[in-house]
Amino acid sequence: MHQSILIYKRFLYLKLALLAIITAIVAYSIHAPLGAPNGGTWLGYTLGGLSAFLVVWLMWFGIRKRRYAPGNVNLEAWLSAHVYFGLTLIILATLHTGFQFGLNVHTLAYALMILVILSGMFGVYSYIRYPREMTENRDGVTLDEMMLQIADLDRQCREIAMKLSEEINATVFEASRNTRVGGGLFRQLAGHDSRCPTTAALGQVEALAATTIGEDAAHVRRLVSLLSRECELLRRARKDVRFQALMQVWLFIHVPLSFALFAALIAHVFAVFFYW
Amino acid sequence: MEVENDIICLGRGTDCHVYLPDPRVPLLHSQIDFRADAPYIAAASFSFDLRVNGVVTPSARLQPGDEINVGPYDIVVVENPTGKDLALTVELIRPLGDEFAELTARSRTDLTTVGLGKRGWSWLLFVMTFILTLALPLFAAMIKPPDSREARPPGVSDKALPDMAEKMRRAVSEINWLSTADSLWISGNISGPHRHFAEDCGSCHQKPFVQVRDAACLGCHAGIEHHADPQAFKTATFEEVKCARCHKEHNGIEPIVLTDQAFCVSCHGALDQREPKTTLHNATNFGTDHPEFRPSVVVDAASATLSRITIGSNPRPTENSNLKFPHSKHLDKKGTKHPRKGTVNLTCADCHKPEPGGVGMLPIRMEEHCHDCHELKFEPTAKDRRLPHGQPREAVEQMREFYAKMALHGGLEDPRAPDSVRRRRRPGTGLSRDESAASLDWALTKAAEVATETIGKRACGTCHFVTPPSVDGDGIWDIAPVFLADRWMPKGKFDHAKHKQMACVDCHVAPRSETAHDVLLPGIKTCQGCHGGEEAADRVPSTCIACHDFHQRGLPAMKAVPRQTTGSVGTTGN
Repeated sequence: MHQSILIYKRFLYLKLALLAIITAIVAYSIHAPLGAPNGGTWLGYTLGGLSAFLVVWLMWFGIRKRRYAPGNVNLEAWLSAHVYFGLTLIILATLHTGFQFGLNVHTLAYALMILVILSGMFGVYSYIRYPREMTENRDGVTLDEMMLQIADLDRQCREIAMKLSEEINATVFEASRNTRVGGGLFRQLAGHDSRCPTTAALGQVEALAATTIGEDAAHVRRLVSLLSRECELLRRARKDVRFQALMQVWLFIHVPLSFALFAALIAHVFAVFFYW
Repeated sequence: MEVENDIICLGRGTDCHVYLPDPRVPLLHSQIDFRADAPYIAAASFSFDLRVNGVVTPSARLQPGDEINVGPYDIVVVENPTGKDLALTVELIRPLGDEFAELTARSRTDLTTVGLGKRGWSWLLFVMTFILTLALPLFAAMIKPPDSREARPPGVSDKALPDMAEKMRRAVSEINWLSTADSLWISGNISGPHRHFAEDCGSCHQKPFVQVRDAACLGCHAGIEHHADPQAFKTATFEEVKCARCHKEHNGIEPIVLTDQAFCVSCHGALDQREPKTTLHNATNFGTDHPEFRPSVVVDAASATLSRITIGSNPRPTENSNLKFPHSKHLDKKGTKHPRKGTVNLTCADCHKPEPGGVGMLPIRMEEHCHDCHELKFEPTAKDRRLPHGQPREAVEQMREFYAKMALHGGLEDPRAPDSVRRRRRPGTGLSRDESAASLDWALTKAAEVATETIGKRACGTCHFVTPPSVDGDGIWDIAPVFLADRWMPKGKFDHAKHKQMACVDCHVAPRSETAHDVLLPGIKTCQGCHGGEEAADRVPSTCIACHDFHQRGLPAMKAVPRQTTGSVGTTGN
C-alpha cells in the first residue's frame, strides 16, 4: 500500500522538524545578546553549525538514493526526513542571520539555500499532484501506445490524402513529416504546440471540405475525422509530456543550485574564520 | 500486371494504370503513349520533374534499359515480352519508413535530452561559485600588504610583502574589482567612523583565522582609559576581555559603542555585592531605578574641597563657595537698579553664556558679567576711579595713594580734615614737616575708613566674606577666596545644546534662590519627566551610555600598548 513520504511513519519527521523549529524560535526570542543578534553570537554559531550540517546531510541524499543495497534506514525514511528537515532550514538559517542581509557571499549562500528549498517544495507539490493527473490523462494507454496510434493515423491520413488534390496531399504529407511530440524545454513544459502542422492541416482540410463535392467529399470527411482523432491524441500525448517534464524540471534547478550553495557555503564558513 | 490502353498514366491517382501509391508522387505524373509504334513518355505534372536516365526532360522516347525516376520509384523499361508493346518494372527504392520510429525520433519527450543536464550544470555552478566567492577574494586578501597601523613593539620593522606578491599586488591594484574582491566577504556594514580604512580588511583582521586582536585597535585608540580605578576595584579591570568583545563591527553605520543597558546593569544592578568598597548606588534603569542625583558641591572653598550631596535631602544641601549672590534680586521681575541706566531687567542669558559647542556654560567672571553694575567705586567725588577686583592689597594701596595725593593737593572741603589738607595750596609754597605728617596721617586714616566702608560693606562685602585687618597688622583686608564648582556632576554628561528648546528655569529654579548656598540643580524627577530607560515607549529612551562614559577620563590606560615605532601613525586623543 503506497504511503506518501509526507505521511511516513505517522508524520514522524514532521514532528521532529516542528520540534526543532519551535526550539530555535524560542531560543532566539529569549536570547538577548549585547548589540544586535547576528551569526557570531553563541546561538548564532549553534544555528549556523546545525544549518551547515543539515545542508551537507541533505545533499548526501543524492548519494544515498543511488545506493541500491539496503541500508539501516530505508530510502523512504531518508526522503521523508530530507523533505521535512530541508524545510526547517528556512527557519534555522534565517534565525542564524539575525535578519542581517547584504550584498555579500553570506547572503548569497542564504539566497541560494532559499532557492533550493523553494524548488524542492515545488518538487514535493509536483510529486503529489501530477501523477494522478497523468494517470487520468493517459486513460489506460502509455505514451508509446499513443505515439503508435498517432503514427498509424498519420499513415492512414496520408493514404487518403493521396487520392485527393495536390494541396491536401501536400498539407497532410507535410503534417505527417513534421508533427512531433514535445521538443525543447519550454515546449515540453507548455504542453501544447502552437505550430503543430497536424492542427494546421485539420483546419485547412475542414475549410476545403465545404467546397468538395462528389466522391472526394467522402474522402475528405474521412480525412477530417482521422485528423481530429490525431489532434486529440497529440493533445493527450503532449499533456503527458508536460506532466513528465514538470516532475523533472524542478530537480534540474534543485540539484545544480545545491552545488552552487555548497560552494557558497564553503566560502561563507571560510570567510567568517579567515576574517574572524 | 497487364494493362491495355491508348495512354498509360503514371501517378498516385487511383485511376492511373501505373499506380504509384506514395504521397511523394503527384496524382498524375506522366503519360506513356505510342507515336509511330514507339513508346514515348511525357511529363504531365507542372510541379514534378520527369527524369529519364537522370536527365530532366519534358518527354522522351523509351527504349529497353531506360530508367524513369518518379519520386521514390525507379521504373525500368525492360525487353518486351512477346505480344506486348511495353514492359516496365516498378521498384520502390525509398520507402516511407517506419512512421513510429520517425515520429519518436523527431519527438523529445524527456527533459534529460535537453541541454546540459543536472551533472553538467552542477559542475558549472559549483566551479563558478567557488571561483567567485572563495578563490578570487582569497587572492585579493593575500596580495594586500600588511597593515601599518598596528601597534608594534619597537624594533619590529614594517612587514613588507615578498617580491612576487608585491608584483601581483601592483599589477592587480589597477583592476579595482579584483583587488577589492574580498569585499564580497564583508558580513555587514562598517561603522561610519571606521570607513576611511574599510577597504583594507587587514587593518583590523591582521592575522587570518585569528580574532581581531587588541593591538589592531590600539594602533589608533592607544591610551583608552580604565572604567574604574584598577587598584581599588579589581572586578572592573576587564583584564582578560578583548576590545572586540564589546565593540562589534560590521553591524551598521552607527559607531560601535556598546549601548545595551543590560551590559551596565550586569554589574551596576548589584554593585554593592560585587564591590563592597564602592560609593556608587545600584542602578538598573534610568526611568524606574536610578539613584537621586548626588552632585559634588563645594563644602570648603578655602581648601577647594568638594563633597557629594543628595539633591532633595533633609536638611537642604548647601554649597559653601564663599560667594554671596542672590539670584532672586538679580532676576527680579520689577527690574534691577543699574548705576547708569536706571532699571534693567536681567535674564539668565545676560550672565550665563554657553561655551562654544553649547555643552556647558562659560565660567562667570566678575570683570565680564558683574562689573557693569558693581563698579567698585570708592570715592563719590572721583567717579571714574574704580578699585581693581580680586586684589585687596592693591585696592587698599590705591585708596591710600588716592587720599595721600588728595592731601598733598589740598583744598579739600572736609571739616574733619586737618588744616594742611583743607588749605588751598599756593604755588611755590610747601608743607612743613609737621604738616606733611598730619596730611599723611589723615590720608591713611581716611583710606582705612573708606576701606572699611567699601571693602567691608559696600563694594567687596556685597559679594564676599571679608575679614578686617587685625589691629596691629598691615591694614590689608582679607577676602575669603571664592571657589565655584566647575561641574556639579563631573561623571554625568549633560549637553545644554541638546536641551535648547527648554527654558533655563525649567530645571534651575534661580528666580526663587536668595542665596548662593542653594544648589540650583534639578532632582532626577525633572529629567525622568522626559527620559526613560532603554525600553521606554512613552519617554525618550536613554541608556546608561547616554549620560555616562565607560572609559573614564583621568584613569590610567586600560590596555598596555608597546611603544610605537617612530614614523607610524600617532595616537589620537580619546
